[in-house]
Amino acid sequence: MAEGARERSLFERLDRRPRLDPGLLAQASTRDLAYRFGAGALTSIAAGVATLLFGARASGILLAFPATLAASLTLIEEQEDSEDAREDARGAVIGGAAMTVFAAVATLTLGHIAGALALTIAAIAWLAGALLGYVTLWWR
Amino acid sequence: MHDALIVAVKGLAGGTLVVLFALLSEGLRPKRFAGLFSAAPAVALVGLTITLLDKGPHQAHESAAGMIAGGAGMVAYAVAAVSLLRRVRAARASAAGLLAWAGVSALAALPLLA
Repeated sequence: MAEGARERSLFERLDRRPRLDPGLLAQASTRDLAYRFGAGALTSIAAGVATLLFGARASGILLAFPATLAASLTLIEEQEDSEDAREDARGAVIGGAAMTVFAAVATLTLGHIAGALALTIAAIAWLAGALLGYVTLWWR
Repeated sequence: MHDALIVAVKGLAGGTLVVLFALLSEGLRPKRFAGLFSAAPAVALVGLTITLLDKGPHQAHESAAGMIAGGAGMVAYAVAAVSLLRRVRAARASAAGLLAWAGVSALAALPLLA
């Protein structure tokens, strides 16, 4: 556990404006990315195999399997601390709710409009839902 | 052979898109905002796209309908993780959270699979 992270004040942990720090991208290790690749690949393969065995609707449940979140929480705790992992999980509550919106929009649109357009609209719905949820609950 | 190839392509593409979202999440602050992207529908986007191309819109529609149940489970997983991480390490919290995912997904799936 990082000493610096433990000493951070509550003030510093309070919600700050969202930002993208490109410098942090360079700190992602190959091992961490490989771990996440494995989690995503295994989930996708499991969903594909489940489709063959149980049909599309039953296997669709696995499309929302939290493999990547589980991998991220473990890695965040290793690199930073449990509080940062909890923060990530808090955000994922809203991301997960937005994922349900994605699925609902995709269900409503696939088969009625062009597939690419349906998935694009569903992805936008996910992003809009996630951002709206974050802003509503935590924007300061 | 064709089905095996499709599954392999899903695996490669799914892993790649997850890495891209993970990189984005790594660069975002605060962590709570980055967490939105830890629950991004990366696997679903890949799975549904390939299903659309391979099997057509009806099967993709069916998969998306099933995903609604999984999405409810994802929320349950994240809520459980927030609570459990206060007491146990992430690996144990993740494993226990998966029980929450499975339970809630199964309940939510009952009306969808009936």
